[in-house]
Amino acid sequence: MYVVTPGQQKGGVGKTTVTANLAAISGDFGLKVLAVDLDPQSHLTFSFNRLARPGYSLGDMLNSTVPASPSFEEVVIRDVAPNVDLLPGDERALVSAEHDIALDPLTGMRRLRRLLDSVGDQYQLCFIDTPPKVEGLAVVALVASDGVVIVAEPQTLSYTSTMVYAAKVAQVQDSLNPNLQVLGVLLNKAFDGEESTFIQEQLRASGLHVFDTTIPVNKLASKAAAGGVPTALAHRNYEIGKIYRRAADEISDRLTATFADSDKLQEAGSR
Amino acid sequence: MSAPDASLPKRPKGGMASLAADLSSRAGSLAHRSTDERLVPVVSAPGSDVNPKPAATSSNVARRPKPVVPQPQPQPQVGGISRPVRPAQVARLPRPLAGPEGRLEASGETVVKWTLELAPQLIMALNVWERDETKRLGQRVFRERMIDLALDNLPEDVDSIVEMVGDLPMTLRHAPGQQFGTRVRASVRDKLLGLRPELRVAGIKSVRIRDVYSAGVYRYLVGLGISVEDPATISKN
Repeated sequence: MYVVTPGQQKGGVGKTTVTANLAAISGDFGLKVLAVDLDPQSHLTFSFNRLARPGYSLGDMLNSTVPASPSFEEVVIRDVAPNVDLLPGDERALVSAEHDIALDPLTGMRRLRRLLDSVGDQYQLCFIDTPPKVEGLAVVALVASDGVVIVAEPQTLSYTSTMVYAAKVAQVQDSLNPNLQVLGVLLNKAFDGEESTFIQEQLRASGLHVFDTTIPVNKLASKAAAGGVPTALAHRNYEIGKIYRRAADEISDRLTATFADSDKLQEAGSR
Repeated sequence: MSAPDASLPKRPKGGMASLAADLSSRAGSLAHRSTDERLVPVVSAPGSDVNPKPAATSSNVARRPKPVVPQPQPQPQVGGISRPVRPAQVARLPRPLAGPEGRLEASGETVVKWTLELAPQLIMALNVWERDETKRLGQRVFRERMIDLALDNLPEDVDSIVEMVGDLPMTLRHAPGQQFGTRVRASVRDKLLGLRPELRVAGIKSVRIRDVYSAGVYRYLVGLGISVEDPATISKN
């Protein structure tokens, strides 16, 4: 299983929407996907029209002060979309878990990683939705991840946040998860215009890989969220559905290029 | 910042299909990460040289450690929620006496009424035990005496109590409780109610007194070898 976090320090860039749609389109393709809602806002859970049962959410699993933590089987919500299961979020439980992890960071940071490792044989892809910051639960997600897709808008403020976020991901990479890779920047709410083109050029010049697929501003996304079905599924045959499919393909290519080829090179080097 | 090397060998792009094929070919080989091996915090003293980071090359990017076969997690028994209790616990639990000596008043202490909230499965198990034990001994045994003994033999410290509550199956802990009127010695009730401030001081908010006495009764029943049935089987009877 590859674990991918669509992350960003700046709020409102569309991380949750991108996460939900990538998970949905990957499941629609036929990959077995686990969506993980690590944001106390729990909007990923809402995107799939679900609610966590009290006492049975991801936060309850990660909180060591809960005497009898629920098991994965008790918490996971199966088939929220074709081939997509969901570990739902709950604000109270995740906030409590974050405080608990802060008391013992070295052990607490590993809990999600251990959890995902224990179920890794059931899934092929895992997407983690995180809060807009690089501390607490967001770092827990990075410790558990193989790759990060930085979601950004083609705007100056988002560009600034992207560079800060990338630097902080590098810190996590150095100190907590040497395997973590920045897969690239996925531009969301993209539009035609000078500023958009300029920002894309600046991102590429900084050394970050920028995915060729950009996700445009789309009113259908909001309607789909209200209906509890990600737009990539609800509007599979529309342009937006095809765009998400291309984005998922690019990210998959990046994953196989990053991890599969490095294994082959290791094997070749060891002979 | 380490990022995938731009000079990574080009491979045919197959998108998600290629990813699926790649994962299938790697299944059982080196797909899994070892949680403990790979997380190595780097701590450097202030002013000391930071260990130079190895240059990110395609050979050391994303090294995947050997697969760790996940240990199977213990699962509750299908159709029944009884669990074996450690032998030491069974040996320590006193059995309720039959006949007049088994009555609470025989202890000489003040006896008080107490209404508990218990899961239906526990109430059923208590009733069944009372009926069967009375038949076995030929003298009346009282379930109120069993509850009194179960609650009097709770662990002393909060940590052990919380651990005991952790052993209570979730189906019992979260089942809608039924009112269960019983009698206990006043000292037993006071000991239970005295746990409330102790749990608060210890910062344990998710354990209720109901959880504690339910776990105590459950532990006692299982320790005596009594199975606590799944509600599905109760409704069939």
